[in-house]
Amino acid sequence: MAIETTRRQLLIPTLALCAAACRKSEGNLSDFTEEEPAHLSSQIHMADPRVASQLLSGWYQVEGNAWRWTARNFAAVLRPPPGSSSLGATLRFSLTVPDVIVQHLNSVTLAAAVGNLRLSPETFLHPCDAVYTRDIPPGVLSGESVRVDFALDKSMAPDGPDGRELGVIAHSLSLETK
Amino acid sequence: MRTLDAHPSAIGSPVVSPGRLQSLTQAAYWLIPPLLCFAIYWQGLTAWFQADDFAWLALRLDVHDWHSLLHALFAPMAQGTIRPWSERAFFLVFESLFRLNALPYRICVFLTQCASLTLLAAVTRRLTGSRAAGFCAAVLWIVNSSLVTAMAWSSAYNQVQCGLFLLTAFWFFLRYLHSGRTSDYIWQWIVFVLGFGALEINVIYPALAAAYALLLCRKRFLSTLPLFIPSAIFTVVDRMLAAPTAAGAYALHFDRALPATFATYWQWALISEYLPAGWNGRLEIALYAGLTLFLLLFAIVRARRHDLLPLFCLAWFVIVLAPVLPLRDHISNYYLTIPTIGLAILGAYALVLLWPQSVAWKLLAVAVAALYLIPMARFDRIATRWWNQRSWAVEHLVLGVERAHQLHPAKTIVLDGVDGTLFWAGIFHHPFRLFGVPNVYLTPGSQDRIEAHDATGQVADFVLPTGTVLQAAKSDRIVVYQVGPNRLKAITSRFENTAIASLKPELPRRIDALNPLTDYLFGPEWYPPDGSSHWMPRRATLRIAGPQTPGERLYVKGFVASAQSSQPPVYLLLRVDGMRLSEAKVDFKGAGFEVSYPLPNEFVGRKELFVALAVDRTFQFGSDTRELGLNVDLIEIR
Repeated sequence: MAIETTRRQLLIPTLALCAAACRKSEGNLSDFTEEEPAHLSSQIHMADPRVASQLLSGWYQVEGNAWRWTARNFAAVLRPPPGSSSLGATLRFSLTVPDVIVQHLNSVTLAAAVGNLRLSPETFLHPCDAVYTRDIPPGVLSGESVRVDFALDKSMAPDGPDGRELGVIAHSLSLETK
Repeated sequence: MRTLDAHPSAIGSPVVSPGRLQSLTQAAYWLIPPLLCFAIYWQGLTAWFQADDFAWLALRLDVHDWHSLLHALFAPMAQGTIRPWSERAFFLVFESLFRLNALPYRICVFLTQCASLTLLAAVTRRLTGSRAAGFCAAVLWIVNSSLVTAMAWSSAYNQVQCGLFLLTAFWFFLRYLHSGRTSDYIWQWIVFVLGFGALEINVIYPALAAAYALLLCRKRFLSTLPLFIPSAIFTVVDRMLAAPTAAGAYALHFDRALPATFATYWQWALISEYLPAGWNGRLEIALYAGLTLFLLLFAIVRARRHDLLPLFCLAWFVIVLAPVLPLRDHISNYYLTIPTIGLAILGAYALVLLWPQSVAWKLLAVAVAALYLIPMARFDRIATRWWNQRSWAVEHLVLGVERAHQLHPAKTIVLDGVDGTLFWAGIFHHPFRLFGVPNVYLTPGSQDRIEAHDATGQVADFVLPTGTVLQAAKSDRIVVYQVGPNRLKAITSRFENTAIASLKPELPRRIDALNPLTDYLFGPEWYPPDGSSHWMPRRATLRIAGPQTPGERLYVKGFVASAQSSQPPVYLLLRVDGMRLSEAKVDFKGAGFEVSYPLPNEFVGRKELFVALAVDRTFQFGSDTRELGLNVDLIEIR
């Protein structure tokens, strides 16, 4: 008798367990945070789809879930980081100059402009991973956004089935307060 | 062996007359204790995860194949414990099926406890020969405040499951004593041996069986002796596997504290540990003394009449509690979950023997039962609500961080406003690993709101240094959330502006090498950290703040890769601001290494030290072509 009753006792909670099992997915988590109004980022990782809209022109699709080829001229928009209007900032562009570019072009020179401020160029003679780093003085960065333009002195012309004009490989771009 | 016939005067009508009323009575008999369980602890049913739960939930992350599954199930873990059924398999299976939906876990705990209540009623009925005593024992046990933790916290499932194993084994033992059937004896053995997978306390089962046989069925005493063999083997193996703990909460103390520890447990067994402060005083003492006197006098009177069952009940309490009595610095009420079974049987037996007596004895029985039951039930509910609300606060925090990581996968999450409860019940146990979020930190100054627990860990491990926060704010690499009652509120912009305006760019004295935000302190020689390792090549550099006081040392801590464990030691040479410090030998025998260097007094107060590290030998592992020196985890001056 005890065993039979125990079986009956166990039936209801077991059914409840099965019902709970159906609620496996954790559902929508949006109620668990209250976000700030959306704003531009000061940092762009090339594979991050959330900041892809800040890549204005001259960038090709993401490859290897990590990087993008650029064209000869390319541009992005960044948010000036907190305090940068008074303290100044550092622009960092992480890139790779691949072997194929140096083989075809011998060297490549990268120049940039932040807003109306032209930054000194840098020439790459060998295949390498590099970070193009330039200081932005106080007073240049103000407002909610700033446009950054890059220009290469030459690029690889469209070749064969790949009809793209290729510059360098881009990994990330950021502005950091000094 | 006690049977129905042993106490005809004390026993209610033994059974079964036809009719619907009889069926309803039967159903009520078995259903009321489980329903009472749900009524008192229902907030435990809806509780989420907290504290140690996250370590068990993360077990799945270590399971990749059969070998790692077996390791996860059976390898000794904290304090050398091996609890494959109640902890490892429980969390692995439920996590695989239900992820972080806590309800199925909780239902499983409640189902197990309901089964134990049914078994306790059946065992008590068999011991006393009274149906009413079985019912009363189940009720007296379920209201005991020692069950609150087990009924509200999934990590305490081991207590509930072990209770079921012990009661089941004992049930088969009683059947064997009654029937003499070998099958019952064998089933007792099977359940007993399986019980070792639930909790180490299972080791005392032979003593329970032997005590019962000695006191009440001496002719079967010899049959209990072989049960001691598995317990002896388990004890030897367990002691070999458990790390020696000379200090800390789990150190064993066989000293004069034992009686005091026992007295504390005895008090908690009779009076709710959760009584509010206002109760402290005469009423509590009177209740404690009254209940103690009642139980002891009852046991003495019955013993004088050659009824030794009450002595066995007291022996149950002492025997099951004995293994945890030497834990002088870790007195926890949930250790009473199984010992209080003995007192529940004793109390139930006393009540059913008093009930047929005169009105005065009846009134005494009612008064004693009420004095025990009412405060217990009331404060059980309050305590369960506390566990429940704490778990929900942890849920909001943990799922909030998961959401923040979904929205900002490339950024480090920093939390502001975390208090001690949330820290010790949540963050300290690294719940965010479950979502692949390795680094979640607290804002500078958080340690002022969180009380220190010396025995378990340091708050400082989780708090970002001010200089690091400032650096991260400038480079827009963090998202900052204020912890609120129901959700996390993003305050990144406000926090960054305040940080840049108010924080000084001072270097830290403690550098978490795995924290990506500290990369500005490391020279370009270092290989990039990958969340679990930060390798230096043969030579590398870093910056750190100087010591605050003379005599401080510079510590370098790190991990030993499995391929390194067979390698001879290397020597790590340090130069600080160009000054050569003594060489230190780095041994690869353990899971990690730590070396330290005395610092000359001239470095005291310096805002920045330039440290150059060099090892005398490097490694290359497998297909990894990098020249690897040491995998560094922490650099600290203290």
